[in-house]
Amino acid sequence: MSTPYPPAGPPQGPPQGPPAHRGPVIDVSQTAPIPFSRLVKVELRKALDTSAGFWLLAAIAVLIIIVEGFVLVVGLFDSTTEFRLVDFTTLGGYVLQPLLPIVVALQVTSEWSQRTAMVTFATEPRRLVVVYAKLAAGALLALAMTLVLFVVALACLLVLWVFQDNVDWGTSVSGTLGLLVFLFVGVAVAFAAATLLLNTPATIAAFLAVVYAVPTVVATIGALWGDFRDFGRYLNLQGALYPVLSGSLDTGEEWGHFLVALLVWVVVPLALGLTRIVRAEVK
Amino acid sequence: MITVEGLTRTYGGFTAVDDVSFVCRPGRVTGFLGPNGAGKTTTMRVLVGLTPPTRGRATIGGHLYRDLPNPGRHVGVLLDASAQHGGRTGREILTLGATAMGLPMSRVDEMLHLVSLTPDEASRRLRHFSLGMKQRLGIAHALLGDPQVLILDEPANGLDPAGIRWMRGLLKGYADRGGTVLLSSHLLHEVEQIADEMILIGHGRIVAQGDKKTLLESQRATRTATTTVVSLDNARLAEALRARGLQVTPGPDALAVACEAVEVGRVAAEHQVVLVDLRSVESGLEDLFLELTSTTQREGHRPGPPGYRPQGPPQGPPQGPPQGPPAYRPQPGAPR
Ligand SMILES: Nc1ncnc2c1ncn2[C@@H]1O[C@H](COP(=O)(O)OP(=O)(O)OP(=O)(O)O)[C@@H](O)[C@H]1O
Ligand SMILES: [Mg+2]
Repeated sequence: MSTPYPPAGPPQGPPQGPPAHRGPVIDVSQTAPIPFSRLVKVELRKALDTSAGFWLLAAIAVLIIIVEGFVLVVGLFDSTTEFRLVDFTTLGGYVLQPLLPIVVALQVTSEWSQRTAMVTFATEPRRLVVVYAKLAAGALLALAMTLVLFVVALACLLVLWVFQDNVDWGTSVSGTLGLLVFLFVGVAVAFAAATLLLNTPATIAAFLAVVYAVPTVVATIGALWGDFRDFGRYLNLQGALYPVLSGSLDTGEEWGHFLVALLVWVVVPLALGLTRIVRAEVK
Repeated sequence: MITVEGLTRTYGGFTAVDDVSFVCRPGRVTGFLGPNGAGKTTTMRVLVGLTPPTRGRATIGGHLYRDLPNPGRHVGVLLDASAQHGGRTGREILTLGATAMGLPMSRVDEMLHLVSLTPDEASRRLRHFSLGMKQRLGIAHALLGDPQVLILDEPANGLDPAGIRWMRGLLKGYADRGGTVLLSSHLLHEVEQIADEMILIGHGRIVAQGDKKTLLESQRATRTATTTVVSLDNARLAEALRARGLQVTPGPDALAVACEAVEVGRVAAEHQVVLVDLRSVESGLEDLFLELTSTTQREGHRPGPPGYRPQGPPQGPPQGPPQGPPAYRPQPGAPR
């Protein structure tokens, strides 16, 4: 073709920089890999840049305000009881525990349901690194929502202090830590299920089953069949988490329940899920 | 430079890509052509590491795709323009790409401008994008990192005629500056106009490859030349041509003659018949394509080198009467 190309169509964009190489080998020594922090930034942005993601987080914040506001109203009419920070955060924590994990799981499953995984893994083929960035972004989101939980609780306490002066300012460090662990274990369970199932409804169902249905079933069987009871405690995530949440995780047996439950419901599915993602054909 | 060596991908007992080898050179646009389900997309997915190959290997610029650091800066990929989150705006999709690749945000505006998406269109959510708009966005995404290699699966899909022409210019210019382009299509005339090199694939196997002229010539050698002619006195011309022993097939407006155009012109001049239209028929790649990708495969022939001669049934002059002005497209790239 001797004629120079005229971009005859309507677009008159700026010319592209010249593709640099002419030889058969592309020199990549000057190209830095994508830093992990940038991948985390992208994943955080992805969690917020769709209306679904944004409103889900906004709705959670609103729910926290409603629930803690309810305690506040009770406090305003009940001057005899002393209210503590943990009265607010525990109730708010029960709102966060089922919802926060769904936000984080969506970060993984939506890549498959919306088929963005193709672009994501073409942009960064180190798939494990991408999943770790999602995990980091999910943890940051969970931290941010927990911060909302505490800030709202503090605000409510301030109001009570001003109008009723029925506030007990004492805080228990272990209780606060326990709440964080309680929330983050839920997030971890959902994240692990998401990597293993790569499907939003199945992940939500699995998460709810592990956190709510399995403990009930296990406890019921345990009540009917004594031999099963001790074994069942290792599968009962709620039961294993209870001493953590109340800041009273001390006996070796409680630790055993907690760690085994983590192994069964987080570590094993996550390991299987990561293997699946690395091997998967992305369509 | 893209190198594919002995690439095979099977799904259970089904072989989607069967021992495929080819090379795409810098400075050339390579067209990857085959009917639906031939294995084009699968090959491209293996190239960018999204599908693991069963056997063989594919490298880009000497590297496996997964070994490229920040691959978006070296290889632009468009596999499926609709594989994006429907709830994101067009601009946001490019912003995510630019952020990951570490590009300045001005690059997003440049690319939107390049593919003619207005700021208003770019601010709509992808689920409200038309097919062509999605395609433009996908091309913009592939070009974001100013890559040296482009891998585009059916890039013209959904583009309007002006858009297709623009893309043709864009890719030619890109290759002229030393870029490597691999694009797929199942529409022959599309590829014919853009590509310098062609790879024909059918049922997962490469059936022919080489530059366009070689492919055409290898095919022309196997068949008799055909010329269509319109004159002021078709009946007299037909008679004169038959008198020369030439095979003539009359149509309503034109005659199809089994010889070179110069021969018809000479007869017309001798008999002083005024010619209105005289052209040699390029049966073109279309026939070659259809032949190679269907019959030869089913008959179990092995794929051949560029000079490969198709073993299809011999084709004489067009059997049906040519309708009006010959329906054949002139081949822009072919010698006239
Ligand atoms: N995951 C899979 N499981 C089973 N078969 C598959 C899978 N992926 C692809 N195939 C089959 O492999 C063949 C090649 O598919 P491919 O998408 O590569 O075709 P193509 O050349 O891109 O076709 P088109 O022009 O229609 O896009 C098809 O028959 C397809 O059904
Ligand atoms: Mg395809």
